[in-house]
Order: sequence, then C-alpha cells, then structure tokens
Amino acid sequence: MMTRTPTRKFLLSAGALALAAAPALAQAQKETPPAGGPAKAFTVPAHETYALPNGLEVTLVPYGNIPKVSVDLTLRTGGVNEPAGLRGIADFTTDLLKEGTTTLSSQALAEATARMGSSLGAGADDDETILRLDVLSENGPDAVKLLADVLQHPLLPESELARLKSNAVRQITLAKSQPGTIAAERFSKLLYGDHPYGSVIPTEENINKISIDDVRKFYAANYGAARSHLYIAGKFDSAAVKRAIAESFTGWAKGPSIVENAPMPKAQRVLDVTDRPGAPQSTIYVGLPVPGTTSPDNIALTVTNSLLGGSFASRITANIREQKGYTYSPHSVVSRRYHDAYWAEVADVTTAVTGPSLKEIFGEIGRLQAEAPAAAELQGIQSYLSGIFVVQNSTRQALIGQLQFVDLQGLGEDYLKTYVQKINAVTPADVQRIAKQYLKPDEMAIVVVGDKAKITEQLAPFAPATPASK
Amino acid sequence: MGTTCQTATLRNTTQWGCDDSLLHQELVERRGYTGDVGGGINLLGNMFNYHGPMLFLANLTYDPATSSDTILKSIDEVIEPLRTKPIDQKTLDRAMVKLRSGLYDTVGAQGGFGLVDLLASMALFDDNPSRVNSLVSEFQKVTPALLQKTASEYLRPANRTILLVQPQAAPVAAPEAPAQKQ
Repeated sequence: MMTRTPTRKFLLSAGALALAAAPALAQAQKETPPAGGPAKAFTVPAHETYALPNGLEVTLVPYGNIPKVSVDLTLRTGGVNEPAGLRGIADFTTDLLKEGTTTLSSQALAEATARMGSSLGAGADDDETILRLDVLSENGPDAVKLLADVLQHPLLPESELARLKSNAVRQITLAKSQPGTIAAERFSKLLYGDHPYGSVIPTEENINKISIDDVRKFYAANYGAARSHLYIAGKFDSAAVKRAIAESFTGWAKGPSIVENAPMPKAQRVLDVTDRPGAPQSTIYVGLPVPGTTSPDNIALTVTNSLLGGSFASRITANIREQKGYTYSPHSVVSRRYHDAYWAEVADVTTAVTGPSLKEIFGEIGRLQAEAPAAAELQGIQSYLSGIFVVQNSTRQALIGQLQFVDLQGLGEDYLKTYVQKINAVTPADVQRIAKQYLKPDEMAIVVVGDKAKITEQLAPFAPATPASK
Repeated sequence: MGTTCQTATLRNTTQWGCDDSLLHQELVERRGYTGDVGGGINLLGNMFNYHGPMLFLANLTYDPATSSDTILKSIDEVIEPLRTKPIDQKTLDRAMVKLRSGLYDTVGAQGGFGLVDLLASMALFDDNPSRVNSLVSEFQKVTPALLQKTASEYLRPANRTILLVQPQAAPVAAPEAPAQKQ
C-alpha cells in the first residue's frame, strides 16, 4: 500500500531504450556482467517516537534533501470495522472529512492545503485509514494543525452526502466493468466469505444505504487519539513541528480502543468461472491462504513468491510470458493485511490458452516442490529483493509506508533493519520446503473471468474432484 | 521554455490533482458532475521535461444522465474568464506554491531518477542542465496578465479536440487478439 514502484511508463521507456541498443550489442561479443557486491543492509534513518498523554503515537523522521515534508495520520480503522450492510462506510467517511471543518468550508480547506503545496489525501483500506498532507517544508507545522482540525472537528455535512454517493457509485460501476476487479472480488469472496476481507468493492446498495447518522456513528466509534499514529518524514523544523503537535493534538479525545476482527480464510480447491462473453482474454486468480507476516516463515515465503511468480525474472513469468507468450503481465503476490495473508498468481491470458496457462502455473508450482532451486537462481532473486528494498524505501513517503507496516503488524523495527540479511539467509531447501508446505495446489481456489463458451472445456481438468458448493 | 512556464502555471490554476483548482471546484464541488478532474500537460512525462508543442488536456467521467454539452458548458464557464480577464493574485500565488511543490516531487521521484531525467532533458533541449536551478524563478515571473494572454492564445475553443468514450447499447464481441510480447 502506497509503496512507490517504478511506473509502467518508466519500465516501457527503459525497454524501448534496450531495444534500440540491441543491434549494436548483438555485434559485440556478449559479456557476462560483473558480479554485484554483497547485499548492503537497509538502514532506517534516525528518528524519534513518542506518545502524547491521550495515546497518540508520534514518529518524526528527518530525511532527504528535498524541501518537502509528509504528514501522515494513520488510524487503526477500516473495512474490518464496518457494520454489516454498510460496506464502504470507512472510505466514505474519509470523503466527508474533506468536506470541511466546523470553522473551514470545503473550499477554504482546499485553498488552505493548496497554499501549503498539497491537497488533502484521505482514504481507508481494510485495516487502516490514512490522512495525508505532503507539503513544502516551511508549512510542516501548519499542516499538522490543519490535519488536527480535520480529524477533531469535521463538519460531516449532510448536504454533500448525495453528491459523494453519486461519485462512489460511479466509481463502483466503473470498477465492476473491469474483469480484474470482478476476479478479485470473486477470489476474495471464496477465501474470506462474509468477512470484510471477502469483498474488494462495496455494492451500490451499501453506498446508497449510508445515512449521515451512520457516518457520524462510524466516526464516533472508530476515530480517536488512542488508535492513531502521526508520522512525519522529510525536511522539517523538528522543534516547531513538535510544538504544533502538542498544541493541536493534545486535546484530541482518547476515543475507542482498537477493535480487531480476524478473518478465518478458507483453503479449498474451487473452480469459479464468471462469464464475459466475447472476452479476448481470461483473467485468472489462483491462490490460497498462507501464513501472515508474523510467521517465522514470512521472509522465506517472500523469497519463494519472488522466485516463483513475484518478480519479472520469476519462473511463472518466464514460462507463460517469455516462452509461451500467453500473457503480458502475469505476477504473483503475497497479500499483507493484518496478521493475514494469501498467495495468488494473477494473469490476463489469451482466451484460447486459458487451460494451458493454468497447466503451466501448476506445473511451475509442482517443479519447485519437487526440486530445490539452483543456488545461482536463488541468489539472483535475493539480490533483486535486497536491492529493490533499499531503492524503494528511498523516499519520505515510502519510509512512512514501511514504518506504518511494521507498526500495524507489530513486527518491530528489527524487521526493517534485518530484512536484507534475512532475505539472503534463505536457502534453496527453504524455498522447496515453503512451496511444499504452503502452496498446495489441491487447496487453491481458481477464479476465471472469461468467455465461458470458449473456456469451459479447457477448464474442466481443473475442477475439484468433488464440486464445492458455492 | 517561457511558454512552458506559462502553460504549466495555467495547468496548476485550472485543473487536476488539486482540490482548490478551478475545474475541480466547478465540476466536482459545485455541480457534482464528477468525482475527479484528471489530466495535465505531457502525460508521457511531466510538465518540466518537454520542449515544443504539447497536449494540454483534462479528463473526467460523468453519469449518463448528464449530457456532454452540459459538461462542456461548465468547462467553458471556467476557461472563458481566464481568457478575458486577469486572474486574482491569490489564486495565482496558490498555483505557484503547488507548482513548486510539484517540481520538488518530480526531482525526488523514482529514488533520484527524477532529477537525473530533468538534468538530461535540460542538457538535451537547452545544453544547460543547471537550468534546473532556475526553474522556480522562471515560473515566478508569470503575472496575471501573462496568464490571461497565454489562456487567450492557447485555450481557444477552435484549438481543442473533444473525445467522448460512451458505453455501447449492447456488448459486441471483440475480435480474438494474440497476447502481445515485448
């Protein structure tokens, strides 16, 4: 979430450059590039963490030389705290937070943030709600005060409810027209059922049902200092920012404690097909629940995923993209929600090779289970993961993202300090064990969104031995 | 680059990514036609790393109940005053702050590659990579009168192209396409 990665555009540009240089290179003898040096550990910049008497946690990270500062307030509330039938209210509440405070109209709020060089970013995912101002350095203290006002004195105006609902319904309609969203929704439902993790987008009915009283109740039940953490990173006047925090956040009510709502994900072979007549591609999700981030196998699972499908050099990508040409952008993921995770391979494949794509995906899982990877292959993945970790965490917002992550998961900062070292300590035998222990094909849900008339026969071999009830 | 400064400032005044922008205030907040106005200058890069003619565009998604004419009328109600009278200094000042903030983001993007890209662009277009240091002062020369002149010259209705993507009445099967490989 919110981790910066190179854009697709950037990657394409790099690819185009490589292509242009290819004829000249082909004439020269191909040389093996020099071996990279040993992986360097990631150093978390020096920072200060303290708590206000009301329970608000504060972390200040002086970082970088760009004259900007990010002010992020993370609240431990999100989809997991939504009442039944009001899916979407956590994010919807953040839309209303942007509609002004008891002393600032929405336009005055927008202009105030613009004068700092920012707009107020606000949104909620399943586990957390984040409000962000990313402002010019000299405005750090004012950004803190403004964020404090938005959080403590929101107007939550009923007058804007209908307009914001229209916006939300429009977004839902657009999202539901995308096969990727449909597949993600089906996959989540199969794994998590009626738990909030079981849905990636709310329904129109949910949104239309939300009343201003519902929003005010949700705010009262879930917002407060005791479940919040203020992260500030970048270049800023530390003393002035701390004064602003003390002045503007000390009076925030402690509020309710964190309410946990752990899911019980289901691992079972299911073949779930959604018809999309005429679709030139089938969107595939294949996966199952795996241990969460606090598991001792977490790092080994990360490495295994990267080798199997989670990186451009991975086996599944090399197979169904590079060798077979079935798909353009396949990838596997390990999800990272609170103390919960699933592994999934995701790909949009040409309709005619939907079945063969699944055969190759399962084939690669089986190959990794049968034989440990060569040391050189694993080392390549470890170098990639080590390097990308350092590069990706070289912005103020990415640093905040990592600190938010370890705080949410309760991992402690040692997780960040020892990450590179632990990545490189994973052995080929570990990878094979992880594949065998956790990536069990018989327990994987298969979701396909595609043209049923053309794919039903192809998919028949992947149906469960005993059809599961839907 | 003079023109780039003016159009870029205009972009920060009028649209996208900023809740205070004129198009956002009109189309999102006042009219409720859409939830967001996107767009910009040079969507293949950024507003600092091009030289020469470039597309300046805004895009939004609206409901079938609203006609495209209604949307265009609202856009015109934002654009036309920019062409006919100078903008107030406070609005221009806000645009300048956002522009400076955006420039710093561009410099820091992609773990330092943002700055490298700007240096390379200015070496290519101006033979002067150190121009990156004077970008802010160049933008600060833009006045309300210059902004009006720029809007009047470039935001002429006759210069614009309007693209509408509308849902079809019934789904039509798309031809089978082979997977692309690069």
